[in-house]
Amino acid sequence: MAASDFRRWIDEGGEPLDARMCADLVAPEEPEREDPFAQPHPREEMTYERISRWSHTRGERLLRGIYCAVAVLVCVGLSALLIYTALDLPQFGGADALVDNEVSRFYVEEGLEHTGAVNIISGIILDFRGFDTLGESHVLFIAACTVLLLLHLPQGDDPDSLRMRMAAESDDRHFEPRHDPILQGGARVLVPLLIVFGAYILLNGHLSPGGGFSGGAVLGAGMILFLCAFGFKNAERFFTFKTFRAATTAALVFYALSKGYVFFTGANGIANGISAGRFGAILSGGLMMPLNIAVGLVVACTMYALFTLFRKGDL
Amino acid sequence: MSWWQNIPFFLVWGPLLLSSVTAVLKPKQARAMMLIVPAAGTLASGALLVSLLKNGGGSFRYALGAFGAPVGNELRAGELEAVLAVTFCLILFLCVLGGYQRIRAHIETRRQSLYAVMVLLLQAGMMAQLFTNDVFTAYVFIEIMTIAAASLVLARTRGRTLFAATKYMIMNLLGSGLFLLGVSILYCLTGHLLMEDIHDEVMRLSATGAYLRPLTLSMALITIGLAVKSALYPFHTWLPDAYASATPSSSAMLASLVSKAYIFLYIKFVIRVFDPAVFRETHIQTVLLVFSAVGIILGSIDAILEKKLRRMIAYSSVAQIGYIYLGIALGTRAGIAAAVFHIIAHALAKAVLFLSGDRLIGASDGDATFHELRGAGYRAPISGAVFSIAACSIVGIPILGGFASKLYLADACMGVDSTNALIALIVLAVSTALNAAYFLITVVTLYMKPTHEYHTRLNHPKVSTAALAVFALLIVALGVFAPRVMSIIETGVSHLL
Repeated sequence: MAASDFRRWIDEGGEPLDARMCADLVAPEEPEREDPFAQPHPREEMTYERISRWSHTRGERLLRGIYCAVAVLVCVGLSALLIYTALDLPQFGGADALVDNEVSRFYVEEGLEHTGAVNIISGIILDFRGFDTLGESHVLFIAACTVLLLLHLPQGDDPDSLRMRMAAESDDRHFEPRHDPILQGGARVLVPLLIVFGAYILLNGHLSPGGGFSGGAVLGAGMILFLCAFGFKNAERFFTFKTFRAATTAALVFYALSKGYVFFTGANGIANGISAGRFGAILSGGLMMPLNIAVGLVVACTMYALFTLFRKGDL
Repeated sequence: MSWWQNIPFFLVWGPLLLSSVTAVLKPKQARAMMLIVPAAGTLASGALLVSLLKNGGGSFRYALGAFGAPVGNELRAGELEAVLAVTFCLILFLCVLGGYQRIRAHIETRRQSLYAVMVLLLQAGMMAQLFTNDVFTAYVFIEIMTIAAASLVLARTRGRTLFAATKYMIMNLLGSGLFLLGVSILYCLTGHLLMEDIHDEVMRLSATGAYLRPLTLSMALITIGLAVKSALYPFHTWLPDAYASATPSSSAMLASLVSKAYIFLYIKFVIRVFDPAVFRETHIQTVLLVFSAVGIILGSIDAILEKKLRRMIAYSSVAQIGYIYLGIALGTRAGIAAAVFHIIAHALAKAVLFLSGDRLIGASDGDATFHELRGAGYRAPISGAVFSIAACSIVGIPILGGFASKLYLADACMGVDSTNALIALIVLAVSTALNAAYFLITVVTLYMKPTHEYHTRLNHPKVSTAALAVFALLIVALGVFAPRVMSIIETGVSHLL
């Protein structure tokens, strides 16, 4: 949607938008029936028109002015309040900072021993507070699902879906640089580097700074760069909608099952038989590496899917 | 540890696991999942409630992993959480079942699997809000619930729903953001994320009087954040569009469950994180009382002025949310118990109003204006009867659930010795009259003589009609067994701390 369209959308509210957005999405449902009682009376119409003219010109300008002023006032006021309060907070890292308590000391002093992760941040994210991260990876999943729900074009062979897909393709062609030597040359160098670097961050998540989320983001960036440089035809050789579904579901199911096993056994006091391994070895930290790979897959697939769905409504 | 103490964990984890499986299922199987998982949740949470009561009640903790809190995450469950889990899962199941045909009609087949994913994630999110004992876990699942709810609105691709979902998303993300700011400040002040540990630090801080301003601000931010998300009066602008344009099942879920889960989280914040004493001291209680009183009155007036049925039901939600916050704002144990009872009563009534209201509109050639609804009670007899029962419950006609909840609210007001209670009582009285004004008139309209013939033939599946009937029975049962339910809620509230 162009900027002017967006402006109009905000200004005019819901009604005028409806027709336009329906046209963008699917065939509109049958229009709502005209309400015979909503028709204004002929004599009232003049008053109505006068009021409507006023409210559409001067009234609207006035209201918008007031609205903008109040919005700015609220924003500035809230920011000032927050900054004023932030000055009052305990100093970061200061002697009286309450954040430095037995919980953080436990993480620092005994985290390595319990999780086997040299990078204790990964240990906290995936082990101690693994439940939050399980939820967080489902946030990514649900975001991807919502975009799918909204933008994924119908895949059927009926004329309607075919037409919609064709239109999206031709739309996309305006933006897709074809055989751009600079982009392709750059991508030839960068894509392998990005993929290897992403894999490195993933696999070393429990040893050095990094982990599933950051590694997955790098992998996703590499895939998007490949797509931009070489086009959908080439990207589809290794990544289609089926790959996306399979990878995301497999990663999430593995993640949920393994964390479920750990939570269940932990809460019931059963030994789970996962050893922390030798500190610093690549195969250490219990389930940390497979979990990082699972999170990384979800993140990479989600990033790539969001990019392609917004671009042409398909993977 | 007994076997049944694992149930809260499975109530959260099960739907999460199954949601990603559902995404790859065929639409038919996905639709089945959407019914099976909430049904299984109802049975499991019922088992939890029965086991809890049999074992003498109280609340227990469930460490997620080998390390319990405060190092790891933790769940906590008591009678109150169990009662609400049963209510939420059951209503979710009945919402899907009651609007099943409309889901199939409104949502394209290829999108139905994703719709089912959203329903399951919504269930997981609600269960997490009930059971979590950790403020950051609450935030993570707030995110899931926000996106799931917005998707439930926009799954029906009519122009208006996109507008409504965008509005919903903007307002609710603002709410999440304010909540997160509040939690961050709280973490900075106390150094804990576990609710009880924060409580200890807050009590220490309020005793010494240190950091009072950041503490108050964090409480205010959390209050406003959750108030935006549960549509307390001045922050309700997203509500009518979202509730009126989505498919009826989605509207019912949003109105009766999503906002309630946030309110329950807020109750936990008031009792378990901040103390009711600190809550009173910072005067947030008074502000909340004013907002809810204004909301009750103005929400009712908005509903009276509304010309379309579903928007009227939506505005009545604004007033009803006001009642719940009124109970919380009293700041007493009785007030909070009454608020929880009202959560249940309103959730039951509002879900069925949306579902049966949609059928009545369907029986009037799809026209939602009141003039066209004349005689709809004859054209769709069961929906008309169920609608009338639910409407009477919201107005507060005796032996129905809504009557009991208003009685408990008034009773809680009597227990408070201040002018606040007087204001609350007056608001209760005035708003009951206003509620009667719009709901009883609607019921009468349903049974008036129609002005012309209608052509629509209704054929709803029998199970969906049965779901509506079960709703009506539950509303009556809640009224009849109100003292029993209330005694469980009262013990539950006392075990919340």
